[in-house]
Amino acid sequence: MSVPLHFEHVGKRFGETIVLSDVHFSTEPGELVVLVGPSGCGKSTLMRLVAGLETLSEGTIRAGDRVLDHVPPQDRDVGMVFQSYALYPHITVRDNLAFPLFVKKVAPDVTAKEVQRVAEMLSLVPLLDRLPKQLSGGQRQRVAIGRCLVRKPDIYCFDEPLSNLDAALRSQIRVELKALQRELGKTTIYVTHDQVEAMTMADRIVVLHKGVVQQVGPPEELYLRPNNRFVARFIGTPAMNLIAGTIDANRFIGGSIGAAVAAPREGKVLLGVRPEHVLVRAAGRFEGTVRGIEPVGEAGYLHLAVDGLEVDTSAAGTSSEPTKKGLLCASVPGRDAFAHREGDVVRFDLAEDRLVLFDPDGGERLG
Amino acid sequence: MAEPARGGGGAGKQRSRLFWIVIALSALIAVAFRPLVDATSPRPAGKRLVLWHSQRGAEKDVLEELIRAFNAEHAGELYVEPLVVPDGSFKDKLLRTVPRGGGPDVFIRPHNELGELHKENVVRPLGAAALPFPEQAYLDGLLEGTTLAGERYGAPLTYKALLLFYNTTLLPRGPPGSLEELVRLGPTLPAGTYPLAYDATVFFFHAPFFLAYGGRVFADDAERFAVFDGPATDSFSLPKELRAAGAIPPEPTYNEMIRLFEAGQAAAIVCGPWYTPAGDIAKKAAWDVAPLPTVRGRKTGSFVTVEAAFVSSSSTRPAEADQLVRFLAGSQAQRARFERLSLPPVERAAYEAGGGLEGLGSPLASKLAAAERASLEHGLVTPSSVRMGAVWRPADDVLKASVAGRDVEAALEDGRYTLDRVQTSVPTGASPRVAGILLAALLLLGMVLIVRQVQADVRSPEAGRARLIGSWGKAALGYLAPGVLATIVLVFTPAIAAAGMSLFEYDGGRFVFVGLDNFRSILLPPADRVFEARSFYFALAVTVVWTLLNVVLHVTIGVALALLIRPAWVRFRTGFRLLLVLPWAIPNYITALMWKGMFNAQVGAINALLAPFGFEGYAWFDKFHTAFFANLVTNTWLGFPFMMVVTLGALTSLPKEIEEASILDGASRWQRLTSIVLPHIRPALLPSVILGSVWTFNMFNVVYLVSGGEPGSQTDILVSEAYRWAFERGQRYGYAAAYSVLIFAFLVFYGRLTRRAAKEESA
Amino acid sequence: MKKRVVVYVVVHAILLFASAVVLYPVLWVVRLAVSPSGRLTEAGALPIPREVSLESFESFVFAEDFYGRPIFFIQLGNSLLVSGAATIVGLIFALSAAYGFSRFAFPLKNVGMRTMLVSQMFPAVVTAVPLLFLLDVLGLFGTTAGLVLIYATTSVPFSIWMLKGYFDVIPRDLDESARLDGASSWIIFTRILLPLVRPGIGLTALFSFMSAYNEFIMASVFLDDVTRYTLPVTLQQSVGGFDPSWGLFAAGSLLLSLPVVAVFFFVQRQMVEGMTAGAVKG
Repeated sequence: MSVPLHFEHVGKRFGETIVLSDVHFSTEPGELVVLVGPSGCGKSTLMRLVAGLETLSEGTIRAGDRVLDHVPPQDRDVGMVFQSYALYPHITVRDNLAFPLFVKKVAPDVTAKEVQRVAEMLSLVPLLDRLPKQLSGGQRQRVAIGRCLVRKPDIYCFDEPLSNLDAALRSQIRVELKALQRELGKTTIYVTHDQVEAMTMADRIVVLHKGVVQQVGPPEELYLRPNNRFVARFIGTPAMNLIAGTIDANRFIGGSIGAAVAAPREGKVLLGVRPEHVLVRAAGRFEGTVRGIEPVGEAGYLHLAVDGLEVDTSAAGTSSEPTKKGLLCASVPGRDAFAHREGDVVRFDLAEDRLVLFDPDGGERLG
Repeated sequence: MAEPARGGGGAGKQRSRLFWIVIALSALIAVAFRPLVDATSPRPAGKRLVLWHSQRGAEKDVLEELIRAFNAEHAGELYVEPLVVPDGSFKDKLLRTVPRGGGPDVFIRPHNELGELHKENVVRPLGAAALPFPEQAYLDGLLEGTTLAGERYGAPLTYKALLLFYNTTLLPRGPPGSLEELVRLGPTLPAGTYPLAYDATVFFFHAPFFLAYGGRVFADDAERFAVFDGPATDSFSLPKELRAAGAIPPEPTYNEMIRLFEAGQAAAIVCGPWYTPAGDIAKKAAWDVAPLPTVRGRKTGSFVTVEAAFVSSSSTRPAEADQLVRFLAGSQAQRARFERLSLPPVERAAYEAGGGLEGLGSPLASKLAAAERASLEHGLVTPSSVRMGAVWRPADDVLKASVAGRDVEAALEDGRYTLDRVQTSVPTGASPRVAGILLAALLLLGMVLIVRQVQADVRSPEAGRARLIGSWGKAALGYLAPGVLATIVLVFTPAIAAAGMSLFEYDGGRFVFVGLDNFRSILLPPADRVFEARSFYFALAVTVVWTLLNVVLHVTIGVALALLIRPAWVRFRTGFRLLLVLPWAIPNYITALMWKGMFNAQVGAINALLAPFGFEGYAWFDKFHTAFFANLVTNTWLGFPFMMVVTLGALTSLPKEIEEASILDGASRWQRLTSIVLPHIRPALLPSVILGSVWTFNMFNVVYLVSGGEPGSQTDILVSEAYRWAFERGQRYGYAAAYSVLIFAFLVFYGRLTRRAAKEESA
Repeated sequence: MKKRVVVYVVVHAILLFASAVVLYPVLWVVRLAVSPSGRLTEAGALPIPREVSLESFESFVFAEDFYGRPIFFIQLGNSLLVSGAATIVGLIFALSAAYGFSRFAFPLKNVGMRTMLVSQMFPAVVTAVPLLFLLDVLGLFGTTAGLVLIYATTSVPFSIWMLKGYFDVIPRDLDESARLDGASSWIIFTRILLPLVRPGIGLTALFSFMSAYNEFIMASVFLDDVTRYTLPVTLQQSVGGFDPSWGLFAAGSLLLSLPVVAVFFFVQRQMVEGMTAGAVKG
């Protein structure tokens, strides 16, 4: 059986430092929820609150109808895979896997069977008699997951499980993990600072910034309709272009660019455009000079200097300045990227149905 | 769950197997011998009498033979079991065991500790039957030595007085009768030969001259010290004059005197009956004994120690104990001691014809006994009063100053000052008010701080988390209780009690409350004494410099060697590493004595090594800076391996890539050292440096055993000063405790300082 | 290339010199121990004996007591037993307390930890008297158990301080993971942390063993049976009084130091590796 998790106005302070404030959302039963945000945003703390490794300062966490707030960690039915894997270095993989059952004083033959089952599931059988230090990173990670599986918890917590792996392995394991989670069908909290990981794995993403939930929603919603400037810049690579400008009668004007938008208000705004919604074509209405080319294979990015355009290029969450002079990033098919040279003048359009507007001061999405 | 698997390769495994074999073997020895001993231990029938003594060698053999004879005589009803107790801990052991009903029935001890033993109630007056001879049969003075307040406590076995040993080749007609003539013989002797050698640095050996000059230890009231007053003060200049005249060797110490005599380089020496010449002179049988020469026309003797048998107050068999004493002090024993050990008899008649000793022993024994008797007759049985114990060390200090050619008058002044301090220790009984208020205030402050800390700790975020995961408070109790409780009881309680002692002064068996007097007199010495040895501030300065230099040397040498030994291309790395940690593995009192010998002026290896630079016979402990240097060398030798090992440990965690990267960056060796390696090992070294400095600050053994505070307590650090006040300058336990409290306060202050520094650095 | 040769030679020269400085005094002790008179009678720069005599060793090793029992071996056994037991008891105290200080939270934790360090600062000159009085009150005076307890306890503060360092560097993830699995603090202690602080245990054990093994002041006051004495007591006995036997002392010193030196040689690798963990975090 799978239970939903409910976070109700959860807050956490360490002395004077506020780590989380008013976190309020629920998960569906069996859902994979990814907590994502830059380091120090409180995502790991939130997970540790679920596991019972930290205490709440405010609010309540429930698993189904059960209030977890004062339940000690071992009684929560929460399994956790640590970023460091937390494998016991002095005992074999087999003993590592058996540890949770050993603790529960499960009969040795039952334990052996269970360990075998999990080992088969994760292809760990040939490694059972090795010590953790004799394993590769990926294998260690599988052992850590296996140790969690052996316990059959109701809720799984993964704390940056892929951060210690190399890039190639990472994408492979992402897929495997996702499949495994589907198979188990248990509610899973997954913490990462990598938005690609979040996008590819999550049923739902929770974006955290400075202890505050920025947005909760499925990946595509976050991608297409980010709640604020932070989410806009944080989700997606390259990040969303934020162009400073003004709204006048449902028309956005910024430098030499103009676009029809459904704006709820007049005045200064930031216009959010994903690079792939900057449509480079010979018949484009606007003009820009190529200042940088990033061919990455199947696609490529052109960095365009556009007359009079102010683009916010600050990294997500780091800048409080409203705008900066910058280049507009446009996505083009890979082979086109190779065709361009720096200094070329290209023409482009904006996909007007995909534009998002943000308040330049507070940063919230308008409309 | 299976046992944890053991990692490691073949060589490591073999080494570790060997290690466990050694451990197992040791355990076997440790455990197996006990039952074996118990099983084989003889259990003679009858009542048991325990006898404590601290004799060695032939003396011990004779004593054991006597005991066997006694046991045989009383077989079935009584038997004696002897126990050798180290001389240095004899008194402490008696004081600790007898009051609680333990300890020996009978013990053999020099009489001069009687005063203290009596005050502490560990001796019992002898029964009438204990003395084997009638009172008038004893040589004058012996029984007085073992009598206190009208009660007789010990039966004299023998006595030890000083006499002259001379070289019959150099002095074929025997020694001249007077010191003056002996000194005048000097120029007629072969080069490098001294007319006289005696330990001029120790008051006991100097006593013949002191007494000849009319010296007295106590004034008429038998209370006030008179050592440094009156006509005999001139005798303290004698060593200086004799040395200047070349009549005695430049380093007139016991070992040196023996060495010179046995090498035929001293015509005469002043020594005791315990000494039997060995070496060349013994082979040639070229020695003899004689009474001490006259000094300034006066016959003289020496301080006399009466070896006596005492009955402890805890003995449950006093009658049998008396019986044993009577035997040990009786004729049979006296004869055996004379015959086998050439120890002088205590019975007057024994010295006369028909005294029962004819035909016993060598002709030498008779000559020796005669000389001893003369020395006793013209000498002084050492006062057994408690306060006598305070005299030796200050008098030694004056003599050492004299030998070193320093100002004797100033040294005497120092001596008077020290004895004054002992004198003023006579407790007055202060009102507890000031100290009480202060103490209460301190306690209150402590309580408030603790309560506030508890409140803060309970509210801390860590506390909340700990409560949730079940690692709060009570859960820890089971783990902490054994260790913390044991520490509180056996480490903190004695320390607190000792700190409490600082408010008291010890007066022979009881503690009298003196409030803050001890602190006052430590912290507020007379103005002209502030910058002199023995003042708290002087010792503090010496200690700080001592600690600083040591730590700097330990760290510098330790780090340097660790860095040198580290590169993989260094040959015999393991060998070097093993050798270089050796000093750490040797007990530090052995190290200290070892280096003390190395710095010996005559036979020391250091002077031999430095001989090409004119260091032959150089007396290292005559001057402050050289004595301090000797201490420093010893402690550096002792202390650098710890820092080296810590550094090696820290270096193992230095990632290779970082170093390699910096090589690629073209950093020079020096840059690499200062910018990468040193900063990396710094955090690891810091706690060790703090700990090391605390250890060095209190490094008693090295200072006490190497320089012994020479010259004149100048190189003493605070702990050794505290020790001297407790055990060498009167039993000023309270004063010593106050010293300890001040040392502690200083170190705590230092600890806070370094902690702050460390915090700032990491911030 | 030439520069490297110079560096090679200089480094080895320095190390050889340092080793010589370390060995030199020890060789003198050996020289003294094998000299027939037990005295040094002439100055010389090299510790080479003119005559070699094993007399001092013999009389130290084959010493017998009043009843003819081989006391050297008995006392060696006692030394090993007392210091071994003290080490084990002390380690049990220190390990569990260090775990408590490292992994639990309780009021006055930091104060307690600091107090442990501070206890090293009180000089021992005057604490012996109250300590012995205390043991008397506890009824432990004169017993081997009492001596073991003294030795065990006096090393505890330092051991706790050191071992806590080792516990502190073990990632907390391990405990937390075990905790989530339902492990009790005892299981975490015995099954997970103890095996991981093994190098620290070895090193701390060595320290406590050494300090107990070398101690003689307490032992000589405390023990009152020659078959219960520890070796250092007898060693001290050899230099008491007017006429110290330095030859005997030298021979005894060498014999006494031998086991500790041997242990040092066995554990020196662990020692080097172990030092950091304890030292980095204190």
